Amino acid sequence: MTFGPPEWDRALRNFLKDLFGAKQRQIEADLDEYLANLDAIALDMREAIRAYLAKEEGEFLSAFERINKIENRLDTLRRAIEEHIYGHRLLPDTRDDILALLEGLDKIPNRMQAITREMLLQRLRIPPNLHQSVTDLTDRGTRIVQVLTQTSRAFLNKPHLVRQSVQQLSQLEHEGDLVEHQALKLIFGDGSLELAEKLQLNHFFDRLGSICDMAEDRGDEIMIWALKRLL
Amino acid sequence: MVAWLSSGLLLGWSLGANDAANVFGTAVASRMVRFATAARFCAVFVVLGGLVNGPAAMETLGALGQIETLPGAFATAVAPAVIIAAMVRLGIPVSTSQAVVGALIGYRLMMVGSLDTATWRLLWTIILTWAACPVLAATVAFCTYKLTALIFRSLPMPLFALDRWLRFGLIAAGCYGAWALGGNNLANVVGVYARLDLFAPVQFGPWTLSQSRMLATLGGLAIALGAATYSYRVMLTVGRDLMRLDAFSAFIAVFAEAVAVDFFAHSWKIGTFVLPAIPVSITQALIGAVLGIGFARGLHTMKMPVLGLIALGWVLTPLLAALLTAGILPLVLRLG
Repeated sequence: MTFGPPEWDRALRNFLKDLFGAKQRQIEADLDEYLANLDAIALDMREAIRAYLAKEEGEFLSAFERINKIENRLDTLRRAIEEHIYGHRLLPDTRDDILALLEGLDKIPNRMQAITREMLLQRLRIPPNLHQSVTDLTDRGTRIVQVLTQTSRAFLNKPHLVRQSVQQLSQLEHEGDLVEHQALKLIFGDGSLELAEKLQLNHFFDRLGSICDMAEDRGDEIMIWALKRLL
Repeated sequence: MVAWLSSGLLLGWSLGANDAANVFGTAVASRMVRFATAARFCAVFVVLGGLVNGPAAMETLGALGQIETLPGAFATAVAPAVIIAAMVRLGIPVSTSQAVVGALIGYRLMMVGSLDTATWRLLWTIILTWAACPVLAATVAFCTYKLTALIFRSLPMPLFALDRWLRFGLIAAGCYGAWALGGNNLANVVGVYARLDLFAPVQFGPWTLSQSRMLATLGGLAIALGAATYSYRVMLTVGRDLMRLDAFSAFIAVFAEAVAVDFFAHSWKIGTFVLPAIPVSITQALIGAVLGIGFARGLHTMKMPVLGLIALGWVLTPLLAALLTAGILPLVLRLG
């Protein structure tokens, strides 16, 4: 069945496809895969750091390899989603919120990749009395990324649940700050460390702790978008 | 005859070019709907609205002007077209309905010298309707905003589903707006010809196509042509520069505007009082709707200079259209 002249027919068919969301489903599937990969990269970073502290070089290298692959896949997905969003007719509000969400989330896997790469290249020496702090801060970082992906999913599907997730993000960020502060006290109170080592470790903890800060910032942004949507 | 009809059709074309922006401006400016798609929807619904509801308001304008000759109708349609072009050039918001009513009054005064009691009564009803239209649009917008916000708040929806609903709503409201525009404003385009004997009725099986329906179709096509050929820039101006509304507010605004304009496309009997179908300004209805949304959200951000310009347009447009019609009428009648 055709609707009038060919160009009218084509326009109407494209319009109906847009309207009933056939094209949106690809964006939804890509977003879902993006968030699943974000969860996975956080777990791989935790595994890499555990292996590094346990001096299991092979395990560390294979986790590092996975992180690189996932980071690469996340970039590909982000570009595909952005292309879809500009190519198809979403409301400007939806378009802007999703693009901002992706741009914000994308900084986190980049940071995780950078942290593990620096560990590999710098052959960072972590004194045994700091191992627990590193593990604790990594756990907080992993957990906060998982909560952030939950928050993002809530924003996409159940905006009224975002507030609850954001409270969890704040709590985890606060806990991360305490662990980082405690670790820095240990570093700068340790007379056996050279100043260069202290600064190197300071930089490492700062980078590791920044995952929690970034996740909390993203959560705050999501909260505002969700409130806007709840009118 | 085509030459005498051309002024009305030109007016229809300019009305389509200007007023299509009030129904599809936001959707097109936000790139949610392609201009070509919006123009097609607009064209179809303007013609349909005009065909179904157009004759009612045409009768009202016919009664106001009581024009009996083609040259008279030509002059009464050409004067508003000139005034609208001049006002748009000066950047003063303008209503085609007000220009046409002004021209009809100018015609009557020139031909008869005064207005009878019935015409005065009709004129006052029209003026009060113009004031009531933005108020009605604001009220509908306020109530719809509150009600819809309540529904959305109690039934939170996934982002993409909400996106789909709002897009559907915006397009449906746009189509309804185009229907209302056709039904209500068509009288501005061909109302001046309503009392003339131009076309013999045509029989299509069981249906008879009367002269008023034929005029409605012609006028609707002129409006549709204006929307399809020349409304893109105005849509961008309205949707991007003048009214940067979020999708939800844009949907409410277009819906409320359409309800108000559609309301006045019909005649209503309230007790013994009969409110005839009256052409109103769709732009003023939209401004009223935006104000209503502002009140519903607790924002009172209407700029006073904008209101001042609108008030200036209100006074100047009918006055100048009346004067110009009176001025050119002797010349046109001599030519005819």
